[in-house]
Amino acid sequence: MSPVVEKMTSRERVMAALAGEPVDRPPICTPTNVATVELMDLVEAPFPDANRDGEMNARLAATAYTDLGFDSIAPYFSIIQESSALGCDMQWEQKDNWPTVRMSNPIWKTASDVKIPVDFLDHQDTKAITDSIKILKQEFGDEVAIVGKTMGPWTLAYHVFGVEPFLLGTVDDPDETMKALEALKEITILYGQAQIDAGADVLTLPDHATGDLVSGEYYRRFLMEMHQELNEALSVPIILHICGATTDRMPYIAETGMAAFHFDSKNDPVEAMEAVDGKIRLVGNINNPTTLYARGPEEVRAEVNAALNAGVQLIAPECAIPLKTKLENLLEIPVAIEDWVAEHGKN
Amino acid sequence: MPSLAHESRITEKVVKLGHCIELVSLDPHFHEVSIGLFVKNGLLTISSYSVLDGIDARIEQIRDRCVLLGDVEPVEGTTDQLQLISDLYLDRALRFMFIAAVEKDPSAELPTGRITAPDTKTKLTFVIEGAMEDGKYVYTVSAEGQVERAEMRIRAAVGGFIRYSDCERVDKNKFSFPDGKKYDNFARLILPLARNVSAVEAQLEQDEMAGQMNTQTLGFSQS
Repeated sequence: MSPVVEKMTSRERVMAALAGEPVDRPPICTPTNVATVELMDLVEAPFPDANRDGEMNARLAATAYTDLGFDSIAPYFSIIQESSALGCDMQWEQKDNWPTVRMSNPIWKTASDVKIPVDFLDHQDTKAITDSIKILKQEFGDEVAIVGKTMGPWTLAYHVFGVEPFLLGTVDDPDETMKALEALKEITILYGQAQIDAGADVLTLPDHATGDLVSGEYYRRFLMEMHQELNEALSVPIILHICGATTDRMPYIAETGMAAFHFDSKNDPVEAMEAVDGKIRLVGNINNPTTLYARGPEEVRAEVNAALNAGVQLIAPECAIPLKTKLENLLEIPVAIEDWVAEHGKN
Repeated sequence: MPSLAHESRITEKVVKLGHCIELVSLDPHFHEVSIGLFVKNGLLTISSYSVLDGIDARIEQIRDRCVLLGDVEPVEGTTDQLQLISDLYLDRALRFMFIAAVEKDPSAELPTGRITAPDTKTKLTFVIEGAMEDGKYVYTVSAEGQVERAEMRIRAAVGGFIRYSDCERVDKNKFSFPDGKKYDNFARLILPLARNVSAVEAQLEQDEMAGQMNTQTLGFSQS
């Protein structure tokens, strides 16, 4: 029987769950964005500016905790801050869409091209996040978990080399691919450490070796060891994020030593729990495009319950939520967790 | 920078407004704020989380445009609420009404008189006329102009009304709303959409993909 756990702060809850320790209730810990267009209006911090200005970013990010009742604040909304600072061709879009990297126009061709600009951490788009983390830490202290984000080398490789050239390279010249990933890994560490220094309690590490594009064996061959190294290099709990169907690589992911894996709704939570076999915590996996975007609170509640019943330790949407997500659906998540705990007892 | 809030500013409002049936991300006529249409206990409310000066007047303007575009009426004593003229709740028609009220130029005159719309695939012009038949109000779709496929196009337009207004097909060129009552504003609103369902669906799909982050939109998947 679990020991009785007194009421925790949001930060205590998240950190305990990531460490595999008892919690008063499962936390809602979103490793990715939960900003919406309505929240942007509420705090006058619209995209794309909220991605590029630390104060606006902090205002918008804080709503996850102050207005939605989540246990974490994740100020890095997108996946492009480092790539912008590296010089990638950017498409900033409007308030209702995600900024993206024009990967059809890559900036580098080989591993030897990888150069980290001397002012990388001072670039507007990397600094916006570290500035925001400092503001959030100053404002909320140890009340809530601040979740930073540093992109993994595989995702950075898509951005700087282009998806197709990079993936073809993994077949044509795997040694060159490894050299490129090793070089890009330094960016992951550099930016992750900068966010830790700014006050991040946790880091999300998205690395899009997705089920759509590469096999589980690819993950083992190119990334598993590198993720172990990243986990050792960065001193806070790491949440690995990979979209898509990933059950085939979860046993490998479970060996990385990372604190948790943020998984997609394409994976059944029961099967996912079996795949990781207690070696890593799971975060997820409420469906975005159908449930949070297009359905209602009842369906959200059903997915929260399914994840909790499976034993998923931290509840969250599967990925960055759609920017038009209805607030009623987001507010249902904490209510559903409270109700589940009332019915089933503490985790 | 002012201190960040420590209490929810949305919970009470979300409960009060009820279910969001449509959310327009960018109002092109008012500072690109988001504006939503909500329903609770049969009452429709237009609302925004924007705190900009003038938002209340803009909401009233949208509310009044909805009255002209759809078969809804304003709730007396309010500037942001609407009610249906009957018990019939037409989800998609209400959503189209709201989107048009927000996105169309508020100074543009709205059509009145005969219900017509040019076909997008031929040179026909569709015409809709309604009349009581066997105790229910039946709309007849006809087409003006000479095209070999006119009958097929009319049948397709009736299909569009079934799709977007839950209408019932009375004949190959006739339909009625589910409760058999008269809804001329919705008929006028839906006709331009009903004539080309595939294009409307493609546009809706494109709108839905905007703002979604997934392997497709990120470019991390096979197309």
